[in-house]
Amino acid sequence: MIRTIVRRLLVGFATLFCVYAFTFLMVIVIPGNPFASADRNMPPEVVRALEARYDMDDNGAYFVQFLAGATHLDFGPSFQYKDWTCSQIIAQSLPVSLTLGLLAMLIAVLVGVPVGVYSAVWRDGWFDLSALGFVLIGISLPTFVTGTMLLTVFAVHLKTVPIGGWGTVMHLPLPALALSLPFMAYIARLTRVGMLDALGSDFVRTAVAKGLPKRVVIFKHVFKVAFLPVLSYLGPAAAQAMTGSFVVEKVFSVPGIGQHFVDSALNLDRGLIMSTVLVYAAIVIVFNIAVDTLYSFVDPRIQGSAR
Amino acid sequence: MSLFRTLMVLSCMTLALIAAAYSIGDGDGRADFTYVNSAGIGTLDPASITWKQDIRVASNIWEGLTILDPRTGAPIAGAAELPEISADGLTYTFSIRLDARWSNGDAVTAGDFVRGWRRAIEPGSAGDYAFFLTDHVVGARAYYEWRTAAVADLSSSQTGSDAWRARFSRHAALLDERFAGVGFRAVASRTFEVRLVAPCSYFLDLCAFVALLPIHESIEDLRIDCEGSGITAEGLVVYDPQWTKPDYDESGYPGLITNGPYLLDAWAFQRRLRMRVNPYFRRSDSLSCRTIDMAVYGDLNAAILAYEAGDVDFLPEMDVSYGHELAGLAMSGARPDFYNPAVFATYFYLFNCADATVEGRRNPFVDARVRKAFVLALDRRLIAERVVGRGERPSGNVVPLGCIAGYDSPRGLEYDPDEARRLLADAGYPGGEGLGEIDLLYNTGFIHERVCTAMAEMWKRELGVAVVLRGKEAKTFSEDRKQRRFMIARAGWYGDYGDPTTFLDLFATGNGNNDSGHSDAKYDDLLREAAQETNIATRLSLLAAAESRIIRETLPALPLYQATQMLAINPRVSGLYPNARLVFPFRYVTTKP
Amino acid sequence: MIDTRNSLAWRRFRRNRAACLGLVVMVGLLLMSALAFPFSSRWSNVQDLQGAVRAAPTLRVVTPYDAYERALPDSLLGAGMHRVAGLAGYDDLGRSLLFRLCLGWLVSLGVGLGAAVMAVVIGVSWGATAAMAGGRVDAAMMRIVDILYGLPYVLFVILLKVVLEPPLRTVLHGQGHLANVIIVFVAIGAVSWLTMARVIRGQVLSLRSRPFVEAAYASGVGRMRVMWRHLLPNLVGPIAVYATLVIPQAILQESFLSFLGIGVVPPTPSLGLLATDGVQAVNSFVGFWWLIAFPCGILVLTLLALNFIGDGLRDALDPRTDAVAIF
Repeated sequence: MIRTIVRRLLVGFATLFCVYAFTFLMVIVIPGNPFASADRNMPPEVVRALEARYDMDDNGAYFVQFLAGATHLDFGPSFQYKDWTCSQIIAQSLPVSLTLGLLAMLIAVLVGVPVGVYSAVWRDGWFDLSALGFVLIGISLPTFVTGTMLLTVFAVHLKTVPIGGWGTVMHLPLPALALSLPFMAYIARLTRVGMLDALGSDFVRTAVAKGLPKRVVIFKHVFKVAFLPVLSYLGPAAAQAMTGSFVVEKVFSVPGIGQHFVDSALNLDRGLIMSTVLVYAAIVIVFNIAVDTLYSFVDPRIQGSAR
Repeated sequence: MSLFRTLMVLSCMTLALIAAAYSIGDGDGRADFTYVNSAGIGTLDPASITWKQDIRVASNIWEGLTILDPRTGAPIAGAAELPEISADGLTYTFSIRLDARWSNGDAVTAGDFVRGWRRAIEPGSAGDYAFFLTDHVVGARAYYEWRTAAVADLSSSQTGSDAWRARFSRHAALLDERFAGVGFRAVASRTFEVRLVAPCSYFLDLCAFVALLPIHESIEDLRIDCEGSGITAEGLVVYDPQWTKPDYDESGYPGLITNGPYLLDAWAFQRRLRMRVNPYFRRSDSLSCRTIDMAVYGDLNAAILAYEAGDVDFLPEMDVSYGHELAGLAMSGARPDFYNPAVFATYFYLFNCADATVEGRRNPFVDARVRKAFVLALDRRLIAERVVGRGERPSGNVVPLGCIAGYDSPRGLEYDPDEARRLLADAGYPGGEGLGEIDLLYNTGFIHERVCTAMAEMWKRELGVAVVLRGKEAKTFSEDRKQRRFMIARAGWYGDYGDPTTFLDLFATGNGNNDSGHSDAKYDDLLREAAQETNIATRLSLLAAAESRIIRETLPALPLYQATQMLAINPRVSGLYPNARLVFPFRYVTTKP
Repeated sequence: MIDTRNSLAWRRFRRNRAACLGLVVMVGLLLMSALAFPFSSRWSNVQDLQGAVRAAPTLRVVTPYDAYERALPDSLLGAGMHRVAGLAGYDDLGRSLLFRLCLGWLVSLGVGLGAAVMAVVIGVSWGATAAMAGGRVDAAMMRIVDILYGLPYVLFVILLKVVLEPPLRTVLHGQGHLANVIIVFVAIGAVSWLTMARVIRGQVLSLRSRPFVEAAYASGVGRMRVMWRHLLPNLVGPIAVYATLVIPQAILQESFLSFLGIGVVPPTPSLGLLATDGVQAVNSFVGFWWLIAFPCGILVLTLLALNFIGDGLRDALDPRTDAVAIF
């Protein structure tokens, strides 16, 4: 077990390095100068000197220097927000996204799983159909539409929560709900399919034939099997939710890290691009390993490398 | 059922975790006055500030030699009394107020201004506005160019090598001697003297700008230094960028010290910035607003909703896609708290006047007739009123109309599609034939997109040309424009000081911001003549002739309208005056509960 | 044998009411926009800055016919189209929202189809090759997929624009708008194939150990031949299902890119662009309800229909629902 985890962590580091190298390549190919401001031009000598100062005139040196810094979580300065280092930016925005993402995943699982279970149990009934409709709308609407609708209804008309921002508990529910909708929908479908799959299998037929009550069969046997695909989905999903969503953060003015994935790319802010990418990739890798480890506890038949 | 139970336990743990995360929120209540910033803060280093949002904070926590009166826009006494100006108009002597104090109680000295001004022209710390000093102050350009050349020289040799060492020590030894030749200095501890190369009617206006603020001596400890010379190995002047933080305490740094009516109390990245009254500021007890919050709303729609809900008191910008409706409410008087003042800025597009080909395709705009045809074919009244519609004044001029006293603006070109078609045929493209696809470069943003779409359709209808829109993100856009990878590109300019040259210099040969590549000897001569002219009226008429040249003859730009800025001020707030320069000193603000 | 299987699948598909409804909706929308295409392609950018700016839906004729006429000679169909131009209201530049929706729907569907084709071609070859090769090659190929998953998407799209735009415009000679749409679906397809590759690899791995494949190997059939003759026909089901489900995903992805301002470049309309415009016009002062209701309505309708069809297809082709392939 521990050997598997160690091996996967090592592979994870290799993956991280490759992600870094590829991103670096992309960053240096795109024309554009991080020191440029929108309307005014700096004298070229000064730009060259600044590039030399930050080792940006020599891509090889910059590649090594950034990597060396990254090993002790020092990602250097941000070029867009000159007064902050990338580490400070991440330190301030990542906890926000982690909190929001955790809550969103919680909502998604607590609503999605029961909906999936009951739609499977009452297959093709009114509950199944209306749940399916709800789920599909959850998948079908872009988050910027659902987010804006939620904001308009709950914050503007009902005035139950503040318009946006961050700092109190009341700032949480709306963005968390908006963030959870696509995940919730997917989890519900995953559970439903898994349940239907399991309901049709031999061991269930045996259990029912043995005279076990339907409730017990469903929750004790079927659900256990049906939950496995949900569990393996939770890894990447949680990683995705916890690294923030640009749209949700934009609509609800949440100071999370999601906006920096997009803004850093739009602003060609090299340091911030690469540090956010590294953080994201690291979180994805850690969550995948965590979920697979959990998986092998729940289902001992599978060892380690479940994908 | 055990799995359900596990789930329940897990959820309870998560909720507990979230609750724990919230026990450490920023909970010091609402400030006396809250305003909105939609983009966060780029930097608070006065020398390199360029964004309006950053200027708004910096000009409230620092105070320059002069400040701008928010009602008239005219410079008035700030940290210094209004200066004595010598008879030839070349020497300004400022006496710093006796009661001018830093936020730690230190007296503000002339040396603090020398420090701040010097940062504005040292390579490394200097920003986009170094030209304020290099254009006007004796010796500043020579010093700046000497330093820039030295920087280029130093970076050409390997740091640490003998060649580098020789160059570096030679350069470092000369630093103070060369700086002594720059025309601003501390004559006495409270007397600051500036010598100008030529009389400048708007110099006091420049003194109010953030690039020329004083800087407290405590930041010298954060200077990145090579061998005690005060400069880095590359020859740059660089400070630890953390010096603008109120709570940075590395190596005994006391945190940011400023001399304005407010001081920086707390600053969380992209979340909130709080200002508090500077207790050492003169008569600080009389300031009505004791605390000010800058709230960050990345989406202005949300900011407007928050304003409507009363969560924020002041919206300095309202650039939303329904801005015309808001402007309508402001102009009809239905919402007296909405304003759309005309600002000292022009919205225009640039033609690439210099390159015969752009990305392998022929650029027809090297021919002034084609440029003129494209200008004439555009109904800018329709664009200003129907496409943008926030009270913008359609204008064929580069310099905003009626903003500069004594300046008689020449008449721009009027809408004349017939003449446009004739000119285009003259140039060899009858009915738009042979032009090929015309590229229209802009930075993504709904107003630019909307204006570009409308212009493309007008040109298609009037001239029969196919125009392709190329929306790009801010950085790639500015790089493309600077490298002149465009045929037509969006531009726009906020005047930096109250003089036509702040706009006209953009089209002078060799100007660093001349992205159109426009070069016209007659125009350059007129500008040069005006710069040497001492009679104010004659000077302005020379500048008017120069403007007439570019808006009627050579046409490097296609002016559309004089910009306006929508803003909203909660009726409970008084002391904010919507003005063309968009200066909002919070020291005059009073709020009713 | 294949025939009976297909007709069986079709019968199963027909029994699925939701899937049939989805199919009907899609065919209806397709017919409508195809019928309108000769007009919408030319009229979707005709602006009436005088009378029609943000005019509410109306049966009245707002923009005079001669504003449109220059584009197309008078015809009965044209006159009819002209009469319904205001049915869905007008946008900020006085353009008929109906025409823009008709064209935008086609553009979005085109982006979705293009991305799906890309995902299928790259994803199937990548996944199948990895699975067939096995061992180190397989591990390496799948690691590459992992790495590509981790790359910053927005940066990738910007890069793609910078790199692809100039050559594409040269190739397409004077079709700058088309080049732009191509870049968008390439950008989306370049990411969608990753999941496809994983799905296909899993399928091939499970098929490879089936008796009929082992029998083929045992009788001396080469690897490539086994792949083409024995494995691929069995993969048609999952591929078809996944491809159907990539389309709505790609359309959604396009709307996200448009929201960021790096999707389809105006004036070419797309559902994402129209929905973004609508969302940005939501305010508490004046209700431009048609600007949000129609684009979002069509978007939801389309995506629902495509999802229903995908579900129906999966049930029909593989009655023992496969948890891996759901999307």
